[in-house]
Amino acid sequence: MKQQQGFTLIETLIAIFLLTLTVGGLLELAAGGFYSVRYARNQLVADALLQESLEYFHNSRDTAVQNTIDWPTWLASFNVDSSGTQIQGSAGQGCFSSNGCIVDPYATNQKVKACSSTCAPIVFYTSNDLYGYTSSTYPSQNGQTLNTASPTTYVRTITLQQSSPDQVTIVSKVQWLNGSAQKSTSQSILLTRWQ
Amino acid sequence: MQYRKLSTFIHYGATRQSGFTLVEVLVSLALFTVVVVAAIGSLYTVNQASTRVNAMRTVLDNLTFATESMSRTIRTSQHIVCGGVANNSGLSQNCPLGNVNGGGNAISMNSTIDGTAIEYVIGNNIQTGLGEIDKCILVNGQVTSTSCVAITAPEVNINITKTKFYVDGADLSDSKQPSVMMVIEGEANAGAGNTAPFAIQTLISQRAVE
Repeated sequence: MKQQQGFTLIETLIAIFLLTLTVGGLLELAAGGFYSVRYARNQLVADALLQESLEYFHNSRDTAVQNTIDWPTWLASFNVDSSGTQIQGSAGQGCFSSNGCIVDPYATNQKVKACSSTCAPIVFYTSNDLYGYTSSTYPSQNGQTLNTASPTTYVRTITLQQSSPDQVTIVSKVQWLNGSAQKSTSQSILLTRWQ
Repeated sequence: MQYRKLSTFIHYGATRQSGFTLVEVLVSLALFTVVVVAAIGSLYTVNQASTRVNAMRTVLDNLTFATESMSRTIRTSQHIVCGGVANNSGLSQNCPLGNVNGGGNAISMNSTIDGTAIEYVIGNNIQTGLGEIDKCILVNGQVTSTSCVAITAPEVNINITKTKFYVDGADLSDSKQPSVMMVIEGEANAGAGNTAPFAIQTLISQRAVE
């Protein structure tokens, strides 16, 4: 009886625990790789959406130059409410508020709208292969109507800050969910008065 | 006496030899096999995963490069024409979203940096049949067989019916700054049936004031 010396329960448990840890760690590493690939792909899409919003402002300013719209009028066009209507009288609203605004360069009208507390997420219209917003109307493409949009987790927030009367800083931030983790990317450009 | 002692020794020895029983050896062997198979299996999986992840990373890097390269070229260009050289002179240079001819699979422009005429074409690779985006340097306003090079990797299969350039504001009469909306859709293929679909949408505004 005394000679029967196997492993004790504790020893066995420790051995199994260590083994699980090793194998689990390795698999975790592999899963981490796939996670980072998904992150890289989502970041690629987010960066493109980020660039889209900043280029819209660039394009809007240069178009204003061609149409001889003056700087204050152009700036005031981003002082909008949540339906995209320009607010007269009180400044510092819409894109100038801390909640920021959304831009939708391809909407038929009301391309800039103020966000209430958080901005509406971007949706993807699979019929027209278009990233946009559910609240916008789009021109019909080759007679095709938009189908139901599939949701995405991308949220794009734009804020305008006027550091001096002659220049405006446009900050764009895109947030999205990678699995359950919140990721974000942001960029800003400085536009100056042209005349 | 001597005999008895020996006999006693053998007798005691036989009972005291505490080796493993056959069952114990079999059980431990089985356990060892299970553990080794699990360990090697997980190593193999990790190795495979890392290969695929690496491949996918390369493909995504290429896609980033292609998008950025096109964005930069379009930004620093002028005289943007939707449809490229295949566009007949009578047609509009524009093809915005919502237009009947909305979206083109080619776009041509002149670089403001060195004056080169460049065309981007979305098409199928002759050998593989996969979709790709080509960058062509125009010679005397024409695409020649040697002037085009694919800027997307063979692992990126571009969806040629969905990938499009939407040009707006390029006509001189429309008093709009030229802009190009770029939609790139397709599938990144890292081998062994491991694919990742993607849909990229971005906008590029020409820097040179029209």
